[in-house]
Amino acid sequence: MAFSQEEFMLSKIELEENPSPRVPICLVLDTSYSMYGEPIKELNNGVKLFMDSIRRDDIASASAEISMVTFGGTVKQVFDFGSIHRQTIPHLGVEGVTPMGEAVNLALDLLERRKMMYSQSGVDYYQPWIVIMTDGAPTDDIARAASRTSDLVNKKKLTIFPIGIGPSADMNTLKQFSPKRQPLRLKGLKFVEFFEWLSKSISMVSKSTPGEEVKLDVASIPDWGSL
Amino acid sequence: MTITHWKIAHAQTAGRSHIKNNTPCQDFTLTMQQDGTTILLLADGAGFSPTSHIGAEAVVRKTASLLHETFDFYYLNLDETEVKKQLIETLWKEFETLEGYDGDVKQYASTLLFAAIKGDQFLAGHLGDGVIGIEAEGELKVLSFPENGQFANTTYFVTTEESWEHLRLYKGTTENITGFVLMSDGSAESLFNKREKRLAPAIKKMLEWLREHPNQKIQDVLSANLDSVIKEQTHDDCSLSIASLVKKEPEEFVTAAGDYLNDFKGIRSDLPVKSHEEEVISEDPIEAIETVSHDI
Repeated sequence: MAFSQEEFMLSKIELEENPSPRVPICLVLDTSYSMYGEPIKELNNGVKLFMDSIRRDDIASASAEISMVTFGGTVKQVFDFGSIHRQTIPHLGVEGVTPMGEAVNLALDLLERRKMMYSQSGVDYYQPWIVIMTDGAPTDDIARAASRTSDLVNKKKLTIFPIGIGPSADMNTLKQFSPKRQPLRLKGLKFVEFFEWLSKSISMVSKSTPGEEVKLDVASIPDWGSL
Repeated sequence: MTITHWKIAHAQTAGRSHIKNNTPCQDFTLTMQQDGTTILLLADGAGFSPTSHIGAEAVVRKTASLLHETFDFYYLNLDETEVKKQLIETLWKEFETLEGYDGDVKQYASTLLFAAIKGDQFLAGHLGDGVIGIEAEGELKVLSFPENGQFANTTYFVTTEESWEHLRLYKGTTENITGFVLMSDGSAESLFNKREKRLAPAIKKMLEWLREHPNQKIQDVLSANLDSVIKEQTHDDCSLSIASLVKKEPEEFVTAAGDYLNDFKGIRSDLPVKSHEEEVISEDPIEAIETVSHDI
């Protein structure tokens, strides 16, 4: 039945504009001195590709909120959760020892704070992700951090990806953060391939609707990682 | 004599992500008036199942028939648990009769929203996300909020184990209520403010449109708005079922068009339904209106 478009069309001001549901992702990255040379160069390339890739995806860029914590000598919060369009792609350098436990604790604190902010402002969010990448073993106590991540994973409140870099990565330590998913070892220095996979996975999550099970692209994991 | 009558309209449209993936709209809506009962329904099929649109339609049609046949049982029964369990059990049995049923009801996962009005009583039910709103004393109010899981892509479905525990029932009288609206979560992105937990002004406008224009026309209007405005703020399917109470004096119908008057042919009316093209009032307006008002 014909009707006048003008007379019967709703205008934007009569509608609500709710914020996009968020996918909080925290990258916890080893920048200790052992990452010197090609590893830190490839890690920087991978991080840049990851952020560029999310920025190019309209839906993922409206949903993904990235925070970055590095552990090299000291623990640094490179940036807190926020819009990826307002974040500057960092250039990571190397320094000192490997305080992994403190870094993961900081990541979890940032995440808790962000989740509280979402709840207070009526912003829906997807299951948060933490990615831990290291090429060695921690130089501090990881017990509390591992207990916190394991508790969240077991309660289905967190997805965690522990990734070992190179032959010296302590996979047994990484396993303590992840009670369900085995840590993966990066093949060579395939940071770019890993971050490409990560951005595609985030994109899939950001487009999922209620009841939709997000199946990670397990088949392409061998392109960059192995058990 | 003041004529009072509920007018109804419903619409759904496939979301942008479903169009892109060439999958059908998984929302299903229905509004009906029969034997003195006005019923609005909406079900949103789960994204994980390619056959959830079949489940959504089955849930809507079966619930419509239950509400129509046993409104009083549901309304008067004081054992709410029994009512919820019985409704869900009937829907699960319905799934078993569907062609293509593979033994797992999850293939038909959907939410469920309904509102039924009989006389001055109403009964509403809600399982999962989406929103049920009412217009009462001129103000929009949320009757039932979305129930999500802890994350944005989780909710409860008719097929969830022990789903009756998540079925929320509301009943009362329609005194002061002049409108009902059911919306899926896709439509809620534009029509429900999650932070302030209030409904968008656009809903009042749609209820008013329905009050003043033929049901079928407003159904087309709802479709057009879902397609070109509401859908812009989500990738999900969008749907709406609405009912507006009209209170008019007979003389206000004198200049009304035939297709508008046809919406007022009471569900218990013995009047032959005139064609939409025919202007009822062109024959004998007052007599037509008096007959209609008597039947409502």
